[in-house]
Amino acid sequence: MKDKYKVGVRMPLKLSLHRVSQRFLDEGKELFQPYTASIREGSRIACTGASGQGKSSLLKILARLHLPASGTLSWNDQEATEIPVTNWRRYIHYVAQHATMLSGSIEDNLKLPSQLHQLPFNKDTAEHLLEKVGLSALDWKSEALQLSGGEQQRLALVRSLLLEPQVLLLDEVTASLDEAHTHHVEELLKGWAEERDRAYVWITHQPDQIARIANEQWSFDNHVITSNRVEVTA
Amino acid sequence: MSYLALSFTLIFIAVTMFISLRRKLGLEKDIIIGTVRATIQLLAIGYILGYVFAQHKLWMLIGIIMVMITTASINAAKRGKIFKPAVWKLMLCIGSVEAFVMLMLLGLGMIEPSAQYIIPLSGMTIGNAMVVAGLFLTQLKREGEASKEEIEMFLALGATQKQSLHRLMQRAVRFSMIPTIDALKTVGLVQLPGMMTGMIIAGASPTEAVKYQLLILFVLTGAAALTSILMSILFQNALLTEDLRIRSLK
Repeated sequence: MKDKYKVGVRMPLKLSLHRVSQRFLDEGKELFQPYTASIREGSRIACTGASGQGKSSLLKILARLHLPASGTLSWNDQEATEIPVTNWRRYIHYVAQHATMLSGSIEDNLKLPSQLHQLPFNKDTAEHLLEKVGLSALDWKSEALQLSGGEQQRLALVRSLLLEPQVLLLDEVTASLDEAHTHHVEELLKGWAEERDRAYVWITHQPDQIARIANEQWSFDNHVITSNRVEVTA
Repeated sequence: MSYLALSFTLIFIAVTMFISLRRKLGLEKDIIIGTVRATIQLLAIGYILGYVFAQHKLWMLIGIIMVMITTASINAAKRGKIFKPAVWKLMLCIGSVEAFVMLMLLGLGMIEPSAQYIIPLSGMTIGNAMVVAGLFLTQLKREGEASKEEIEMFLALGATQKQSLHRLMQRAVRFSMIPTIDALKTVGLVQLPGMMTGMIIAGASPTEAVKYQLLILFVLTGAAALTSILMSILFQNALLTEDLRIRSLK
Protein backbone atom coordinates (compact mmCIF):
# COMPACT_ATOMS: atom_id res chain seq x y z
CA MET A 1 0.00 0.00 0.00
CA LYS A 2 2.76 2.38 0.98
CA ASP A 3 4.90 1.68 -2.09
CA LYS A 4 2.00 2.36 -4.37
CA TYR A 5 2.19 6.03 -3.48
CA LYS A 6 5.92 6.42 -3.49
CA VAL A 7 7.30 9.63 -4.97
CA GLY A 8 7.98 9.35 -8.66
CA VAL A 9 6.05 6.14 -9.16
CA ARG A 10 3.79 6.76 -12.11
CA MET A 11 0.36 5.46 -11.70
CA PRO A 12 -2.98 6.44 -13.13
CA LEU A 13 -5.36 8.36 -10.94
CA LYS A 14 -8.99 9.14 -11.40
CA LEU A 15 -11.12 11.26 -9.12
CA SER A 16 -14.69 11.31 -10.39
CA LEU A 17 -17.67 13.44 -9.49
CA HIS A 18 -21.03 12.06 -10.47
CA ARG A 19 -23.92 14.56 -10.54
CA VAL A 20 -22.54 16.47 -7.54
CA SER A 21 -24.61 19.50 -6.52
CA GLN A 22 -24.72 21.85 -3.58
CA ARG A 23 -27.37 24.01 -1.95
CA PHE A 24 -27.13 27.10 0.20
CA LEU A 25 -27.08 26.07 3.85
CA ASP A 26 -29.81 28.35 5.11
CA GLU A 27 -32.15 28.99 2.17
CA GLY A 28 -31.98 25.60 0.50
CA LYS A 29 -31.57 27.27 -2.89
CA GLU A 30 -29.25 25.70 -5.44
CA LEU A 31 -25.64 26.86 -5.22
CA PHE A 32 -24.64 24.87 -8.28
CA GLN A 33 -26.47 22.30 -10.37
CA PRO A 34 -25.43 18.65 -10.63
CA TYR A 35 -21.97 18.40 -12.16
CA THR A 36 -20.22 15.35 -13.55
CA ALA A 37 -16.50 15.34 -14.31
CA SER A 38 -13.32 13.46 -13.72
CA ILE A 39 -9.85 14.49 -12.72
CA ARG A 40 -7.01 12.38 -14.08
CA GLU A 41 -3.23 12.29 -13.88
CA GLY A 42 -1.93 15.48 -15.42
CA SER A 43 -5.24 17.35 -15.07
CA ARG A 44 -4.53 20.98 -14.31
CA ILE A 45 -7.90 22.58 -13.80
CA ALA A 46 -8.63 26.25 -13.20
CA CYS A 47 -11.89 27.07 -11.41
CA THR A 48 -13.20 30.45 -12.44
CA GLY A 49 -16.28 32.54 -11.85
CA ALA A 50 -17.61 35.28 -9.63
CA SER A 51 -17.46 35.01 -5.85
CA GLY A 52 -20.29 33.15 -4.15
CA GLN A 53 -20.79 30.67 -7.00
CA GLY A 54 -19.62 27.73 -4.92
CA LYS A 55 -16.05 27.22 -6.09
CA SER A 56 -14.68 26.73 -2.58
CA SER A 57 -17.69 24.59 -1.73
CA LEU A 58 -16.93 22.26 -4.61
CA LEU A 59 -13.31 21.94 -3.54
CA LYS A 60 -14.38 21.17 0.03
CA ILE A 61 -16.81 18.56 -1.26
CA LEU A 62 -13.96 16.96 -3.22
CA ALA A 63 -11.88 16.84 -0.01
CA ARG A 64 -14.92 15.44 1.80
CA LEU A 65 -14.80 18.39 4.20
CA HIS A 66 -18.38 19.22 3.14
CA LEU A 67 -21.23 16.96 2.13
CA PRO A 68 -22.79 17.60 -1.27
CA ALA A 69 -26.57 18.07 -1.50
CA SER A 70 -26.60 15.22 -4.01
CA GLY A 71 -24.21 13.11 -6.06
CA THR A 72 -21.28 10.83 -5.38
CA LEU A 73 -17.50 10.81 -5.55
CA SER A 74 -15.17 8.00 -6.43
CA TRP A 75 -11.43 7.46 -6.38
CA ASN A 76 -9.94 5.05 -8.92
CA ASP A 77 -13.44 3.57 -9.39
CA GLN A 78 -13.94 2.98 -5.69
CA GLU A 79 -16.86 4.76 -4.02
CA ALA A 80 -15.79 7.49 -1.61
CA THR A 81 -17.87 5.97 1.17
CA GLU A 82 -15.71 2.83 1.02
CA ILE A 83 -12.50 4.75 1.61
CA PRO A 84 -11.61 5.97 5.12
CA VAL A 85 -11.85 9.75 5.11
CA THR A 86 -8.38 10.23 6.64
CA ASN A 87 -6.81 8.30 3.72
CA TRP A 88 -8.94 10.17 1.23
CA ARG A 89 -7.77 13.57 2.48
CA ARG A 90 -4.17 12.51 2.47
CA TYR A 91 -4.34 11.85 -1.27
CA ILE A 92 -6.93 14.48 -2.21
CA HIS A 93 -5.76 17.45 -0.27
CA TYR A 94 -7.43 20.83 0.20
CA VAL A 95 -5.25 23.93 0.68
CA ALA A 96 -7.17 26.83 2.23
CA GLN A 97 -7.17 30.38 0.96
CA HIS A 98 -5.79 31.66 4.23
CA ALA A 99 -2.91 29.59 5.52
CA THR A 100 -3.34 28.34 9.08
CA MET A 101 -0.08 27.85 10.90
CA LEU A 102 0.26 25.64 13.89
CA SER A 103 1.54 27.65 16.83
CA GLY A 104 5.09 26.42 17.21
CA SER A 105 8.20 26.50 15.06
CA ILE A 106 8.46 26.36 11.29
CA GLU A 107 9.96 22.91 11.74
CA ASP A 108 6.88 21.77 13.71
CA ASN A 109 4.75 22.88 10.79
CA LEU A 110 6.88 21.16 8.21
CA LYS A 111 6.90 17.93 10.18
CA LEU A 112 3.16 17.95 10.79
CA PRO A 113 2.13 15.77 7.82
CA SER A 114 4.67 13.06 8.60
CA GLN A 115 3.82 13.27 12.28
CA LEU A 116 0.08 12.89 11.67
CA HIS A 117 0.62 9.83 9.49
CA GLN A 118 3.57 8.34 11.37
CA LEU A 119 5.87 8.56 8.36
CA PRO A 120 9.54 9.49 8.23
CA PHE A 121 10.22 13.17 7.61
CA ASN A 122 12.12 13.88 4.41
CA LYS A 123 14.35 16.83 5.21
CA ASP A 124 15.90 17.05 1.73
CA THR A 125 12.51 17.28 0.05
CA ALA A 126 11.44 19.97 2.52
CA GLU A 127 14.59 22.02 1.86
CA HIS A 128 14.20 21.59 -1.88
CA LEU A 129 10.57 22.74 -1.81
CA LEU A 130 11.32 25.71 0.44
CA GLU A 131 14.00 26.80 -1.98
CA LYS A 132 11.56 26.61 -4.89
CA VAL A 133 9.12 28.97 -3.16
CA GLY A 134 11.86 31.37 -2.02
CA LEU A 135 11.88 30.41 1.64
CA SER A 136 15.30 28.77 1.88
CA ALA A 137 16.62 31.50 4.18
CA LEU A 138 14.15 30.72 6.95
CA ASP A 139 15.37 29.65 10.36
CA TRP A 140 13.45 26.44 11.05
CA LYS A 141 13.50 27.10 14.77
CA SER A 142 11.64 30.40 14.55
CA GLU A 143 7.97 30.84 15.32
CA ALA A 144 5.73 30.13 12.32
CA LEU A 145 3.11 32.67 13.39
CA GLN A 146 5.72 35.43 13.11
CA LEU A 147 5.93 34.99 9.34
CA SER A 148 4.16 37.40 7.00
CA GLY A 149 0.88 36.36 5.34
CA GLY A 150 2.61 35.59 2.06
CA GLU A 151 5.35 33.56 3.75
CA GLN A 152 2.77 31.59 5.72
CA GLN A 153 0.91 30.84 2.51
CA ARG A 154 4.04 29.50 0.82
CA LEU A 155 5.04 27.52 3.90
CA ALA A 156 1.54 26.03 4.00
CA LEU A 157 1.95 24.94 0.38
CA VAL A 158 5.26 23.27 1.14
CA ARG A 159 3.63 21.56 4.12
CA SER A 160 0.84 20.36 1.82
CA LEU A 161 3.29 19.00 -0.75
CA LEU A 162 5.15 17.11 1.98
CA LEU A 163 1.92 15.19 2.52
CA GLU A 164 2.59 13.79 -0.98
CA PRO A 165 -0.98 14.12 -2.19
CA GLN A 166 -2.20 12.85 -5.55
CA VAL A 167 -4.65 15.68 -6.16
CA LEU A 168 -4.27 19.19 -4.80
CA LEU A 169 -7.32 21.40 -4.30
CA LEU A 170 -5.99 24.93 -4.26
CA ASP A 171 -8.24 27.70 -2.97
CA GLU A 172 -6.79 30.97 -4.33
CA VAL A 173 -3.41 30.08 -2.93
CA THR A 174 -1.55 32.89 -4.68
CA ALA A 175 -4.01 35.63 -3.69
CA SER A 176 -1.71 36.99 -0.97
CA LEU A 177 1.52 36.71 -3.01
CA ASP A 178 3.35 39.29 -5.12
CA GLU A 179 4.02 38.69 -8.78
CA ALA A 180 7.44 37.09 -8.41
CA HIS A 181 6.33 34.65 -5.73
CA THR A 182 3.14 33.89 -7.63
CA HIS A 183 5.29 32.77 -10.56
CA HIS A 184 7.52 30.63 -8.36
CA VAL A 185 4.50 28.88 -6.91
CA GLU A 186 2.93 28.42 -10.34
CA GLU A 187 6.14 26.89 -11.69
CA LEU A 188 6.49 24.58 -8.71
CA LEU A 189 2.92 23.28 -8.81
CA LYS A 190 2.79 22.94 -12.56
CA GLY A 191 6.07 21.03 -12.55
CA TRP A 192 4.82 18.86 -9.71
CA ALA A 193 1.67 17.92 -11.64
CA GLU A 194 3.43 17.34 -14.96
CA GLU A 195 6.52 15.50 -13.80
CA ARG A 196 4.79 13.25 -11.33
CA ASP A 197 1.51 12.79 -13.17
CA ARG A 198 -0.44 14.37 -10.37
CA ALA A 199 -3.40 16.72 -10.70
CA TYR A 200 -4.75 19.93 -9.25
CA VAL A 201 -7.92 21.99 -9.19
CA TRP A 202 -7.03 25.63 -8.68
CA ILE A 203 -9.44 28.45 -7.93
CA THR A 204 -8.28 31.69 -9.45
CA HIS A 205 -9.69 35.16 -9.95
CA GLN A 206 -6.82 36.31 -12.13
CA PRO A 207 -7.77 35.84 -15.83
CA ASP A 208 -4.13 35.96 -16.96
CA GLN A 209 -3.26 33.11 -14.60
CA ILE A 210 -5.53 30.59 -16.31
CA ALA A 211 -3.40 30.07 -19.40
CA ARG A 212 -0.26 29.75 -17.27
CA ILE A 213 -1.51 27.11 -14.88
CA ALA A 214 -4.32 25.17 -16.53
CA ASN A 215 -5.07 22.76 -19.33
CA GLU A 216 -8.75 22.64 -18.40
CA GLN A 217 -11.20 25.18 -17.05
CA TRP A 218 -14.30 24.77 -14.92
CA SER A 219 -16.39 27.93 -15.22
CA PHE A 220 -18.95 28.71 -12.58
CA ASP A 221 -21.70 30.88 -13.95
CA ASN A 222 -25.29 31.35 -12.90
CA HIS A 223 -25.27 28.18 -10.75
CA VAL A 224 -24.04 26.00 -13.60
CA ILE A 225 -20.53 24.59 -13.99
CA THR A 226 -19.15 24.03 -17.48
CA SER A 227 -15.89 22.46 -18.49
CA ASN A 228 -13.60 23.51 -21.36
CA ARG A 229 -10.13 22.77 -22.53
CA VAL A 230 -7.68 25.61 -22.18
CA GLU A 231 -5.75 26.42 -25.33
CA VAL A 232 -2.13 26.92 -24.50
CA THR A 233 -0.51 29.66 -26.49
CA ALA A 234 3.10 28.66 -26.68
CA MET B 1 -26.44 31.03 68.09
CA SER B 2 -29.97 31.89 69.13
CA TYR B 3 -32.69 32.72 66.61
CA LEU B 4 -32.88 36.19 68.21
CA ALA B 5 -29.18 36.73 67.47
CA LEU B 6 -29.74 35.40 63.95
CA SER B 7 -32.59 37.82 63.39
CA PHE B 8 -30.29 40.71 64.30
CA THR B 9 -28.24 39.83 61.19
CA LEU B 10 -31.15 41.25 59.22
CA ILE B 11 -29.61 44.61 60.11
CA PHE B 12 -27.09 43.92 57.33
CA ILE B 13 -29.95 43.38 54.89
CA ALA B 14 -31.54 46.62 56.11
CA VAL B 15 -28.29 48.43 55.36
CA THR B 16 -28.28 46.97 51.85
CA MET B 17 -31.94 48.04 51.37
CA PHE B 18 -31.15 51.52 52.61
CA ILE B 19 -28.26 51.92 50.17
CA SER B 20 -30.32 50.57 47.30
CA LEU B 21 -33.21 52.99 48.05
CA ARG B 22 -30.97 55.95 48.66
CA ARG B 23 -28.91 55.37 45.51
CA LYS B 24 -31.95 54.33 43.47
CA LEU B 25 -30.26 51.04 42.50
CA GLY B 26 -33.66 49.37 42.11
CA LEU B 27 -32.43 46.22 43.82
CA GLU B 28 -34.97 46.19 46.69
CA LYS B 29 -37.22 43.54 45.19
CA ASP B 30 -34.31 41.22 44.42
CA ILE B 31 -32.85 41.76 47.88
CA ILE B 32 -36.13 40.81 49.56
CA ILE B 33 -36.65 37.77 47.34
CA GLY B 34 -33.03 36.75 47.80
CA THR B 35 -33.17 37.08 51.57
CA VAL B 36 -36.40 35.12 51.87
CA ARG B 37 -35.19 32.39 49.49
CA ALA B 38 -31.82 32.01 51.19
CA THR B 39 -33.48 31.77 54.61
CA ILE B 40 -36.04 29.19 53.53
CA GLN B 41 -33.62 27.09 51.44
CA LEU B 42 -30.97 26.97 54.14
CA LEU B 43 -33.37 26.34 57.04
CA ALA B 44 -34.99 23.58 54.99
CA ILE B 45 -31.69 21.91 54.15
CA GLY B 46 -30.66 22.30 57.81
CA TYR B 47 -33.73 20.38 58.94
CA ILE B 48 -33.42 17.82 56.16
CA LEU B 49 -29.78 17.19 57.00
CA GLY B 50 -30.58 16.92 60.70
CA TYR B 51 -33.24 14.34 59.87
CA VAL B 52 -31.01 12.39 57.46
CA PHE B 53 -28.12 12.32 59.94
CA ALA B 54 -30.42 10.91 62.60
CA GLN B 55 -31.96 8.25 60.34
CA HIS B 56 -28.80 6.49 59.13
CA LYS B 57 -30.57 5.39 55.95
CA LEU B 58 -28.40 4.74 52.90
CA TRP B 59 -31.13 5.45 50.34
CA MET B 60 -31.66 8.92 51.78
CA LEU B 61 -27.98 9.67 51.48
CA ILE B 62 -27.87 8.44 47.89
CA GLY B 63 -31.07 10.37 47.13
CA ILE B 64 -29.56 13.65 48.31
CA ILE B 65 -26.38 13.07 46.32
CA MET B 66 -28.43 12.26 43.20
CA VAL B 67 -30.36 15.51 43.59
CA MET B 68 -27.07 17.38 43.90
CA ILE B 69 -25.62 15.73 40.77
CA THR B 70 -28.77 16.37 38.73
CA THR B 71 -29.05 20.01 39.75
CA ALA B 72 -25.37 20.61 39.08
CA SER B 73 -25.60 18.92 35.65
CA ILE B 74 -28.66 20.91 34.57
CA ASN B 75 -26.98 24.10 35.69
CA ALA B 76 -23.64 23.38 33.95
CA ALA B 77 -25.45 22.27 30.77
CA LYS B 78 -26.69 25.84 30.34
CA ARG B 79 -23.14 26.74 29.38
CA GLY B 80 -23.20 24.28 26.50
CA LYS B 81 -26.72 24.44 25.09
CA ILE B 82 -25.41 24.06 21.54
CA PHE B 83 -23.92 20.65 22.34
CA LYS B 84 -27.18 18.76 22.29
CA PRO B 85 -27.36 15.96 24.86
CA ALA B 86 -25.18 17.87 27.33
CA VAL B 87 -27.13 17.04 30.53
CA TRP B 88 -26.61 13.28 30.28
CA LYS B 89 -22.92 13.63 29.59
CA LEU B 90 -22.61 16.03 32.51
CA MET B 91 -24.42 13.67 34.85
CA LEU B 92 -22.07 10.90 33.78
CA CYS B 93 -19.05 13.14 34.25
CA ILE B 94 -19.99 14.72 37.58
CA GLY B 95 -21.38 11.42 38.88
CA SER B 96 -18.13 9.60 38.04
CA VAL B 97 -16.04 12.27 39.73
CA GLU B 98 -18.20 12.14 42.87
CA ALA B 99 -18.06 8.33 42.93
CA PHE B 100 -14.29 8.31 42.51
CA VAL B 101 -13.71 10.93 45.21
CA MET B 102 -16.00 9.23 47.72
CA LEU B 103 -14.51 5.79 47.07
CA MET B 104 -11.04 7.20 47.68
CA LEU B 105 -11.99 9.14 50.81
CA LEU B 106 -13.93 6.26 52.34
CA GLY B 107 -11.73 3.48 51.02
CA LEU B 108 -8.56 4.99 52.45
CA GLY B 109 -10.28 5.94 55.68
CA MET B 110 -9.74 9.67 55.24
CA ILE B 111 -13.26 10.36 56.43
CA GLU B 112 -15.76 8.40 58.47
CA PRO B 113 -18.53 6.67 56.56
CA SER B 114 -21.31 8.82 57.94
CA ALA B 115 -23.72 11.28 56.33
CA GLN B 116 -22.25 14.08 58.41
CA TYR B 117 -19.00 13.84 56.39
CA ILE B 118 -20.26 12.46 53.11
CA ILE B 119 -22.91 15.08 52.38
CA PRO B 120 -20.89 18.27 52.89
CA LEU B 121 -17.87 16.83 51.06
CA SER B 122 -20.09 15.60 48.23
CA GLY B 123 -21.65 19.05 47.98
CA MET B 124 -18.24 20.65 47.62
CA THR B 125 -16.98 18.08 45.12
CA ILE B 126 -20.10 18.24 42.98
CA GLY B 127 -20.27 22.04 43.18
CA ASN B 128 -16.66 22.38 42.07
CA ALA B 129 -17.09 19.83 39.30
CA MET B 130 -20.08 21.87 38.13
CA VAL B 131 -18.01 25.06 37.90
CA VAL B 132 -15.15 23.29 36.11
CA ALA B 133 -17.51 21.57 33.66
CA GLY B 134 -19.28 24.87 32.98
CA LEU B 135 -15.98 26.60 32.25
CA PHE B 136 -14.93 23.74 30.01
CA LEU B 137 -18.11 24.03 27.95
CA THR B 138 -17.80 27.82 27.72
CA GLN B 139 -14.28 27.45 26.37
CA LEU B 140 -15.18 24.57 24.05
CA LYS B 141 -17.94 26.69 22.53
CA ARG B 142 -15.53 29.58 22.06
CA GLU B 143 -12.89 27.30 20.52
CA GLY B 144 -15.46 25.73 18.22
CA GLU B 145 -16.06 29.17 16.74
CA ALA B 146 -12.57 30.64 16.91
CA SER B 147 -10.53 27.62 15.87
CA LYS B 148 -12.55 26.45 12.86
CA GLU B 149 -9.65 27.14 10.50
CA GLU B 150 -7.21 25.25 12.69
CA ILE B 151 -9.54 22.24 12.84
CA GLU B 152 -10.08 22.35 9.10
CA MET B 153 -6.33 22.53 8.49
CA PHE B 154 -5.86 19.36 10.52
CA LEU B 155 -8.76 17.60 8.84
CA ALA B 156 -7.53 18.55 5.37
CA LEU B 157 -4.16 16.97 6.20
CA GLY B 158 -5.96 13.71 6.92
CA ALA B 159 -5.80 13.97 10.71
CA THR B 160 -8.00 11.78 12.90
CA GLN B 161 -10.59 13.22 15.29
CA LYS B 162 -8.20 12.98 18.18
CA GLN B 163 -5.32 14.56 16.28
CA SER B 164 -7.50 17.41 15.00
CA LEU B 165 -8.85 18.33 18.40
CA HIS B 166 -5.84 17.57 20.57
CA ARG B 167 -4.55 21.15 20.93
CA LEU B 168 -8.00 22.64 21.26
CA MET B 169 -9.02 20.21 23.99
CA GLN B 170 -5.79 20.89 25.80
CA ARG B 171 -6.61 24.61 25.84
CA ALA B 172 -10.15 23.97 27.10
CA VAL B 173 -8.90 21.67 29.88
CA ARG B 174 -6.31 24.21 30.96
CA PHE B 175 -8.84 27.05 30.94
CA SER B 176 -11.33 25.15 33.06
CA MET B 177 -8.72 24.37 35.70
CA ILE B 178 -7.33 27.88 36.15
CA PRO B 179 -9.63 28.99 39.02
CA THR B 180 -9.00 25.78 40.97
CA ILE B 181 -5.24 26.09 40.63
CA ASP B 182 -5.30 29.80 41.48
CA ALA B 183 -7.32 29.03 44.60
CA LEU B 184 -4.76 26.40 45.56
CA LYS B 185 -1.93 28.91 45.28
CA THR B 186 -3.50 31.80 47.21
CA VAL B 187 -5.50 30.02 49.89
CA GLY B 188 -4.69 31.20 53.40
CA LEU B 189 -3.00 34.31 52.05
CA VAL B 190 -5.92 35.95 50.30
CA GLN B 191 -8.92 34.18 51.73
CA LEU B 192 -9.77 31.88 54.57
CA PRO B 193 -11.96 29.25 52.98
CA GLY B 194 -15.56 28.96 54.13
CA MET B 195 -15.25 25.48 55.53
CA MET B 196 -12.29 26.33 57.71
CA THR B 197 -13.93 29.54 58.91
CA GLY B 198 -17.05 27.59 59.81
CA MET B 199 -15.15 24.95 61.76
CA ILE B 200 -13.19 27.54 63.72
CA ILE B 201 -16.35 29.46 64.62
CA ALA B 202 -18.04 26.22 65.68
CA GLY B 203 -15.16 25.67 68.12
CA ALA B 204 -12.73 23.37 66.34
CA SER B 205 -9.04 24.10 66.80
CA PRO B 206 -7.53 26.03 63.85
CA THR B 207 -5.02 23.25 63.12
CA GLU B 208 -7.81 20.65 62.99
CA ALA B 209 -9.75 22.98 60.67
CA VAL B 210 -6.65 23.35 58.49
CA LYS B 211 -6.30 19.57 58.14
CA TYR B 212 -9.82 19.29 56.76
CA GLN B 213 -9.33 22.33 54.59
CA LEU B 214 -6.23 20.78 53.01
CA LEU B 215 -8.17 17.61 52.42
CA ILE B 216 -10.88 19.62 50.69
CA LEU B 217 -8.44 21.60 48.58
CA PHE B 218 -6.56 18.55 47.36
CA VAL B 219 -9.78 16.66 46.73
CA LEU B 220 -11.17 19.59 44.75
CA THR B 221 -8.00 19.94 42.71
CA GLY B 222 -8.01 16.28 41.81
CA ALA B 223 -11.72 16.42 41.12
CA ALA B 224 -11.23 19.43 38.83
CA ALA B 225 -8.56 17.64 36.80
CA LEU B 226 -10.69 14.53 36.56
CA THR B 227 -13.73 16.57 35.56
CA SER B 228 -11.92 18.38 32.72
CA ILE B 229 -10.37 15.20 31.37
CA LEU B 230 -13.70 13.37 31.44
CA MET B 231 -15.36 16.36 29.78
CA SER B 232 -12.76 16.38 27.01
CA ILE B 233 -13.43 12.70 26.37
CA LEU B 234 -17.23 12.94 26.58
CA PHE B 235 -17.39 16.01 24.33
CA GLN B 236 -14.79 14.75 21.85
CA ASN B 237 -17.49 14.34 19.18
CA ALA B 238 -19.28 17.61 19.94
CA LEU B 239 -17.38 19.56 17.30
CA LEU B 240 -16.95 16.93 14.58
CA THR B 241 -19.30 14.54 12.84
CA GLU B 242 -18.69 10.82 12.54
CA ASP B 243 -17.13 11.23 9.07
CA LEU B 244 -14.84 13.99 10.38
CA ARG B 245 -16.51 17.13 9.16
CA ILE B 246 -17.01 20.25 11.27
CA ARG B 247 -20.42 20.14 12.89
CA SER B 248 -22.47 23.29 12.41
CA LEU B 249 -23.32 24.51 15.89
CA LYS B 250 -26.63 26.26 15.42
